Amino acid sequence: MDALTSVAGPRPARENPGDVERLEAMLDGHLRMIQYLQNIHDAQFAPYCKLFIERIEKEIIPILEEAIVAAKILMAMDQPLPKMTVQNLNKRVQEGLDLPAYEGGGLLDP
Amino acid sequence: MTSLPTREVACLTLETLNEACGLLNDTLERGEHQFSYLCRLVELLETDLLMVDQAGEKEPEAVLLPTLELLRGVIQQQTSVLLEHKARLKQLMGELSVRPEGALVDALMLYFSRLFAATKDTAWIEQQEEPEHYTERLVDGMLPSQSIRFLSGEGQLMLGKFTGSTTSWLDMKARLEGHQYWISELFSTLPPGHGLAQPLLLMMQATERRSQRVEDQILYQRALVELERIGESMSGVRGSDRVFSLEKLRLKGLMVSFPESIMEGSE
Repeated sequence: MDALTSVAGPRPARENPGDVERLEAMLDGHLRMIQYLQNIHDAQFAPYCKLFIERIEKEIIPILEEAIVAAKILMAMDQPLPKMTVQNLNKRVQEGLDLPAYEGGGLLDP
Repeated sequence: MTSLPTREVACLTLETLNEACGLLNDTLERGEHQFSYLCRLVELLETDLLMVDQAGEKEPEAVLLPTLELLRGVIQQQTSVLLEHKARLKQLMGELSVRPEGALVDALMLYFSRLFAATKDTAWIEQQEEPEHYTERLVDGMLPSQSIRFLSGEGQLMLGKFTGSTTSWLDMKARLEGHQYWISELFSTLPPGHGLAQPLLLMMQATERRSQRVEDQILYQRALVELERIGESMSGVRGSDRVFSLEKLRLKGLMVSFPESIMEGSE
């Protein structure tokens, strides 16, 4: 019985490392977009740019940041995680991946 | 061909009978011990299962207590038959010493005929190289010889392993694994349809369900520690506070603290 005091279980399914790269690229694209919009000072467009920036900052950036953290947790776990936690983290990752991507954000650089 | 004088035959028969009674007496004594080991194992099992239920703040499963009652009932019924055998054997041995040719001896011999035969058969089977290839006679009040072997060997040793208080889910997991082991091993020694088989099978299922709940608790505890570890390594990363705090909160919501164990005799 003494030999049976450890919990043996399957290791957690590793999240695809490509997800982190993809999410970071998406985040980078959105941050570049914000920078680009911040540099538009034309009175005609500035209010719309501000709204757009706010939307990205409030509705997109946090989700992407959390998705990146979730993907990194899934990759870093050495112990099996409860199914519920894995589902929650995967859901966060998927929510990030489902966002519109500005992976071409680099093209916005002057 | 000369025949033995009647007096010598009677003496020989009496001697053989006394020897058989002695053998049967030893067997019944051992059987009584084995039933007491089994009772103790069942008591420990009940305590552990109810402790797990108590930790989950749930009522015990509706099926658990009737199953325990059924198991105890079968053991009690078998034990009472065994005790009846013992009482009648004592009576027979007494009669043999005072009225060996009395009518009561004949009646008691008839009562014991099947038990004598079963005991002799089992003793013979146990001396064979591959005893599992033989089918023994099963009589009420006696456990199958393989069950007796298990209970008087590993079963008795396991009783020692169940002593001491249980203070963590990890301890409980080991205990439940121990219970699953003895139930499974004992079950495997029983012939199909034996009275103990069905309640033991139900107890095995009840133990497996609780074992899963205990494993879940261990998993939550370990996952929390792991999240703490990774959380520290990712401190400062934007968004990490939100993710970690929420997941840790969810885990804590699923965790239940291990119930305080009640030491035997403390009540």
